Amino acid sequence: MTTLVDAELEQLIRLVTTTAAVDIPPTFMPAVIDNVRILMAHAALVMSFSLAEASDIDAGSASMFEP
Amino acid sequence: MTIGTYLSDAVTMATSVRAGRLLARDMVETALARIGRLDPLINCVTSLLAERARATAIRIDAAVAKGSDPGPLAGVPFGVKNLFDIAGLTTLAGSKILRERPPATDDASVIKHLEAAGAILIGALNMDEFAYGFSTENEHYGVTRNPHDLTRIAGGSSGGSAAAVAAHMVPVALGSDTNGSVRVPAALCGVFGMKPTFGRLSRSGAHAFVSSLDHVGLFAGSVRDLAVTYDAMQGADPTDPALAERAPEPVYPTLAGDTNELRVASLGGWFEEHAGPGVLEAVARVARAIQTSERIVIPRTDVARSAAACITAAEAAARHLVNLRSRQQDFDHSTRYRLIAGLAMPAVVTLHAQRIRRWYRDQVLRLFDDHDLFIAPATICAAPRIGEATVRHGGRALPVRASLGLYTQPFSFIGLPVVTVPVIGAGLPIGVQIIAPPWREDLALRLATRLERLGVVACHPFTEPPADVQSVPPATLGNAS
Repeated sequence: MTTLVDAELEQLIRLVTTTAAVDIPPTFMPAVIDNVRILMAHAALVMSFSLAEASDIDAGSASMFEP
Repeated sequence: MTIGTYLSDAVTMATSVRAGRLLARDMVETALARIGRLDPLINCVTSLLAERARATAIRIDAAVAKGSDPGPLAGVPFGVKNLFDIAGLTTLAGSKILRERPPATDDASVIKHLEAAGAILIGALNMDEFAYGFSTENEHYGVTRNPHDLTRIAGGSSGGSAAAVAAHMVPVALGSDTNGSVRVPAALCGVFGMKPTFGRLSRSGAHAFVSSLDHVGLFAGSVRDLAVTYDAMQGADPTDPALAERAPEPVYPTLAGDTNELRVASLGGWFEEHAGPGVLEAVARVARAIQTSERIVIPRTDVARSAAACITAAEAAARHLVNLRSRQQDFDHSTRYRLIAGLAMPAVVTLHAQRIRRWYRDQVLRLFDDHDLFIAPATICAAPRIGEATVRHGGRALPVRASLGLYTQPFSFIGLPVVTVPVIGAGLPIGVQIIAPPWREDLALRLATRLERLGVVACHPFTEPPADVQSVPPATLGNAS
């Protein structure tokens, strides 16, 4: 998997957060990058796992364990 | 029995109040005095509700005097994590940002349930900001210290609740558990903790963190207190759409039920990796006590745990979007960076994580065809020191805060009921999870009762600090990740 350097990752983060109308001060960015790297490691593991067939999405509800 | 010892035994206290042998107002004054003495050391109370508690106590004493029964928790003081609405108090959820909101106009549903059973709300308790953490090292309200070692964390995010019970300030307390926020602090503080099935208890009036994963939970000093309190918390609530339409299923009458036929297995694989030796020994001790040698592995728990982390990040970021736009500087620093990072979580990952949730749930439910309960560690280690960034096991360094939920996240992810029991042993407290099938809290509590009777689990003994110790130096906060 490609590993982005911090400057590349910062550009991607800014693209996303600007879309969400969130401006990140430069002083916050190193810590944000650290946290994004942790999250993307989780995301990569999640996306590496293939389900045999698409299942329904369970967003959590009172019927989680009901028929 | 001195009056103070009642603060570690809710049922005995309530029995005495109901019989007129003890006054509820005396219990309230005893609890207030104890909080006044110990909280400067531990820092678990963020708001004290002395006048409200005194007024409630007077009503309860009057009811008893008239021959009425105030309920199974008559006169029992309790505290709640400060994300529960309390009428007249601003709900903080551990934050600075919410201080500007108006006071709540009503109590959270579970507070009403407990007060209807005679319990007395006495205070709001410290937590990680917006419940996003496992350490209760809160920049705005300070660190909650572990009552058994003031240099160590109480765990989180319901750290104030666990610490208050561990230090016998209150016999029971409420918390919430999204990824382990009841079970982690229960384990680190050496008290009993419980996270019921998703949809079992009303979340109405509890500030949400991750709605698809949030559970209300509770802490107590014994299985009996846990069961009686949990029973009082059950009930219908039309204001919570996530509450299942099930009649209350009281567990207290079932605690003494037979456990010899229960099929219990220890969880291996993921639930053994990263664990320190004391943690594995605690699980082994429980397994030996109930004479089970069966060990099973739930495949791909690593994926389930990561999926829980992705859902958490995305939902939490979306929930706090407005304040991320305008008030980033007002967040606790560790919460701020996690929330901003969550904005970068791709939607396709979150949706895939939800599919994995169902897959993992179905897989675990199939394992219950051949088992009644599982046991697993609650945390990888005992309470870390305040500000400690890493813990070393077998020469490998693990980030403390990110790793404290390794063993709890997989079960809240799929909504299973779990009871955390404190295993008796030398040194710092260590907890073990008892995991049950959906809606079978009774089974987990029955096994916990058996372990309690076998002398394997008990609330960790609290050593009173010397009377001349009035405070401890401020702790240095670590950069929680």
